[in-house]
Amino acid sequence: MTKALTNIPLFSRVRFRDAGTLVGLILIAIVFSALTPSFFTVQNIINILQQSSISACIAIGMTLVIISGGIDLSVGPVAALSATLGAAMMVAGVPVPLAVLGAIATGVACGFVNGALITWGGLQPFIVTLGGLSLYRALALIYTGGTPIFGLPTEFRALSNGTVLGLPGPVIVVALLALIAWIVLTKTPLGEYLMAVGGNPEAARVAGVPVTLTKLSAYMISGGLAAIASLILIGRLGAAEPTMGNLWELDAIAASAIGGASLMGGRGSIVGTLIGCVILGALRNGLTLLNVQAFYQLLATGIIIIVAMLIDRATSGK
Amino acid sequence: MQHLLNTALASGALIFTIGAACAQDLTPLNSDSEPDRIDWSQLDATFGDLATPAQGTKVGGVSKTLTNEYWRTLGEGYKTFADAQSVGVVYQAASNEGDQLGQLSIAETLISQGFDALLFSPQTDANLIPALEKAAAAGVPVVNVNDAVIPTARHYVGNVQKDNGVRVAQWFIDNHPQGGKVAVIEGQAGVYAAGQRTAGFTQTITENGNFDIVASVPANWSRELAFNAAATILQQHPDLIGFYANNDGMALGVVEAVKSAGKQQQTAVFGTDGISDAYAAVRAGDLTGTVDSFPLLTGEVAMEVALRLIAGQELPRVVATPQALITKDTIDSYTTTDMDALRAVLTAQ
Amino acid sequence: MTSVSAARLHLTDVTKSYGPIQVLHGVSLTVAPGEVHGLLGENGAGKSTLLNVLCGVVPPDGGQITVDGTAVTIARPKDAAKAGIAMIHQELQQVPELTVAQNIFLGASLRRGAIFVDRQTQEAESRRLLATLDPSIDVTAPIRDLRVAQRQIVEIAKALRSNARVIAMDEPTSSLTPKEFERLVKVIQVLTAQGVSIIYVSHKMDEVYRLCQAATILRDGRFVTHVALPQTPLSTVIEHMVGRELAHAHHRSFATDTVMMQVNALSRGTAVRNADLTLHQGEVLGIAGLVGSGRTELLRLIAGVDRADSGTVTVDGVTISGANPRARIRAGLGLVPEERKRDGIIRHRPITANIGLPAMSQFSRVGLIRKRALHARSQQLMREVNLRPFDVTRAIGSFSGGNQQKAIIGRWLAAGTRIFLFDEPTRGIDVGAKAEIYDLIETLAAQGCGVLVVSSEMPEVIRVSDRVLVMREGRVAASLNAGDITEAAIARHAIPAA
Repeated sequence: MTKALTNIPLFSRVRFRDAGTLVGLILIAIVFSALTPSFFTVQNIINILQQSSISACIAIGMTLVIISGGIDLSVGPVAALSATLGAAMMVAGVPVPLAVLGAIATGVACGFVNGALITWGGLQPFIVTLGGLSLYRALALIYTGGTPIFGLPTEFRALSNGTVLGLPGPVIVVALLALIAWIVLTKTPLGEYLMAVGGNPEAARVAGVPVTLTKLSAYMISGGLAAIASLILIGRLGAAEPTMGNLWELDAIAASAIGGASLMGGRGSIVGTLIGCVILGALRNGLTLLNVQAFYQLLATGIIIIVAMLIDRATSGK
Repeated sequence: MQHLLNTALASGALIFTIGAACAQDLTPLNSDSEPDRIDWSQLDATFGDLATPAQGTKVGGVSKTLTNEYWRTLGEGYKTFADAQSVGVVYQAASNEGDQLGQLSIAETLISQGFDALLFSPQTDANLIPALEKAAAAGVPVVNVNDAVIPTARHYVGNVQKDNGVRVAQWFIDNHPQGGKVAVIEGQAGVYAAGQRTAGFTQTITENGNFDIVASVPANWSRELAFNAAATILQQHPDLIGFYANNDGMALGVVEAVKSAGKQQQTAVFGTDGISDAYAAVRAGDLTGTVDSFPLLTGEVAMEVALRLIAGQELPRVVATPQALITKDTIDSYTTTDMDALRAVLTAQ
Repeated sequence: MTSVSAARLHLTDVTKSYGPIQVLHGVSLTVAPGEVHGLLGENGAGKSTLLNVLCGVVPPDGGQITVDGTAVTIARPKDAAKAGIAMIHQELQQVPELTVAQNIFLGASLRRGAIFVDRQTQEAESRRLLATLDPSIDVTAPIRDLRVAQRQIVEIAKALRSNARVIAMDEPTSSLTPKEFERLVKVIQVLTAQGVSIIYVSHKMDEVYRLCQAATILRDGRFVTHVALPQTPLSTVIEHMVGRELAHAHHRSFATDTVMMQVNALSRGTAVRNADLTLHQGEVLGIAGLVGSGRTELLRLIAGVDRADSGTVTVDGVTISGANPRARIRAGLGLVPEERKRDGIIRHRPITANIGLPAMSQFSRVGLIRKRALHARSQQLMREVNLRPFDVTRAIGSFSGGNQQKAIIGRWLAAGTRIFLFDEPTRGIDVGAKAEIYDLIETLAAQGCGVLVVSSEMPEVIRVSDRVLVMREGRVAASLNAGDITEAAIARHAIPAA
């Protein structure tokens, strides 16, 4: 019996959960394909992926933070602040790579502030990032005076609007980021630390896990990914608006939860979160194709989240 | 803040857009001042009657949100006009006014469905730009309908936002020749319509010289925020003679504040948009007036413009839609379900 | 054995399955009126499930329950209360913010009129109930201000309020001091004098022998036997529980003269005052003392989990500078904490991840964890300590306390720890696994490790230690060498002079 058991790869439980999320996505895809012929076409699937890419980018960071036992409500405003600063730099003639780095650094810095207040300040993540939600939005609005920044350089926009092998640039960028995040979470000490710190912070500390650094990294990664998401978006829009990123945090939390992340910390999966994002994207896309009113789309999203949680409860409760 | 906003709105957007990356031959659109324009009432006279659209023509509409009566009525306008021409319509909206990416997803999904023309009412000036570009690439004409303005839009149908404020300012100048203190309740900071409406009111009333704008604060289109702001302003300036709110929802919030301060006789309240609640409030004497931009009619005009574009007509870039100041004195002439009669009244004003 | 007709409580042939897994196979239990009846068995023997069946939390699949000769059906907690069965859970189910009286009348508050709670009567009644149990408890104090022992008595009062005739106690002494245990003994005597029957679940055999007149032994969800106490010898009882004979081990010493660690004048507030100790290579140093004497606190200071106000820890002649767990782990120290759930395990993570945590750098190359190496090492370590079930990929939370403890020890073995700090190493661990932990401690010493063992159980301290430090009021009061280690000696130094 021991031989057979030991051959099972590590973390099999999480993978089992991912398979469940995937089944959910497949079911949704089957239903929409049956209802409208325009759903299951290459172009539409690329559409869905492109539309999900930005929320996926945010959700990856959110998943890491949630696994570490925290929450990051400030992602939308962090994105807005990074985007407006980055865009202003580009418009002012700063070379594109430098401006991109500047924007990402802004996001990481915001994440550092969140993390510092939570770890060294000993404040609750919900409250700190709720404060950040207003704070970073205010900074973006004050900096821009409320107006969008237009006139982004073409070479920057090419990144978001180009395609590689038929796949839109944003999809590829986010897929790469997801791959990196997946490796970090499942293959590196940091990933193990995130799970440990989220699962039981005191036990992790006793076991010698650098708890403070681990939490800080989670928030900094989340901030950095928010900045990257914002860069992808402004590349597509051609403008950076201080009001961008409204309610992104809720979409990201929803995707993480659908994907199996526990808001209590210690559990979550990058693959699951990605599928969660695509589920939400496919739902919106399919219902639009069917010409269903936005209110029902909201209804469907709510039902999906709750059903996912109920299935979770039923399968893990044993 | 006020100064910053105005400067930014008047010039900032323009300056920023000078180097517009899209390298289009179009100048960034300012729907209020674009010289290439025509009034809605001149369409028939200039371009002849609308030709009957081809069988199976369909037009897609994407608007902000259906929680707002304005956008629901606009959609009805699309549908009334399209039905009369036997044209198919799909009308979709995001779940709330803040959902920028959601609206973009909807717009992109519609493009892939092969519509002959699209009518966009974007959440912000920028959030539907990718959809606009995608439609352009697919050769589908897009009409930007009220009130956020996509700088690269080739066709725009909507009212002159600035004129909303101008009309209200004019009422104060006519009815309070001695002048007095007035206040403005603004919409969401950074939104084109809000900025233009405020600017129209502020500039007109300042030029007169007798009025004093004691406050101009944003209430983000929220009735509750408007109520709170108005209550504070009234407390500070008990001799205030009037409010101008950037939309009706906020104006109705202001009305409540004025009522609870017991200043209905002294303080006039104006809104913008002409929603049904506003009409009722004007009749009841609570709301002094509103600038109606006739969403049903606007919807019809927008649909007409779309159909003319499908038919291959070259139209001016901006088609201005009607608006009128509704007060207790004028309300009856605008309260009609007969669109032809309404068109006649508006053309005559 | 009590005749069925005279029995207070009689269970026959109770079965229960969770899905495909049968956890109770026709269990029987008979308790006489006024009897303290032990319910014994290793972890996983089915004690908890049986208690849950009794108090209506888990509906049984089959079997009969009679109370005072009347057949009852218990499908919900309400049914149990109606049948006169109450349960004192290990984790007390009380509302900390409410007062003692409010908790006693929780869910059954007395009313004046239809709406208003009749506080005065509730408090008077609570006072009356507590008078015989512990009159020192203030019925108007919020529960959170009470010590665990007092809360337990409040819970018993609540049971009496609902006219319970059977009170089941699940590990009632797990967080009580010896003095508090004496109080509980008195309370139980008061209860039995009133004819109330007690079902007593405990791992602590000395308590069982002291309190119980009879016991039912379960193993693997089956009824094994019914024994009369205290006449049945302990070895027989344990044999029934574990299903095999335990080798009765004697202490072996591997201590050398080489100093491994020196602790100098370690202090933290009033909890630990100027503590000194020396640990030699291969030595097992026991730390005894009353609860609250600073034993656990001292261990946590040494492990760097808490920050010391002053004092130093020197390992192999080098004073460790950092006062955090990481620095101490690097120096070769590892804490096996008392509160395993809170300070030890990462519940949802597999055994491998729990083992690898402190030694991640050792198990990774170019920033990536070498899962294969970690897996292999974990398997090797867990085979040595006889992990059951032997599956290192399973979440640690699904293992029994003893096996979790083995994994925590494995964690430090993997990290190359040479100084093991055990805090109550067998707390909540069943008899069979206990012996295994003792063997492990001995093996560590044999390999040249230094071991500190904090324990409240005197037999345990005496069983494992080469030398014993006795703590009293935050200070090291005495050091007992091999020949002097007796319960009497420990107690003499542990108890503060009046």
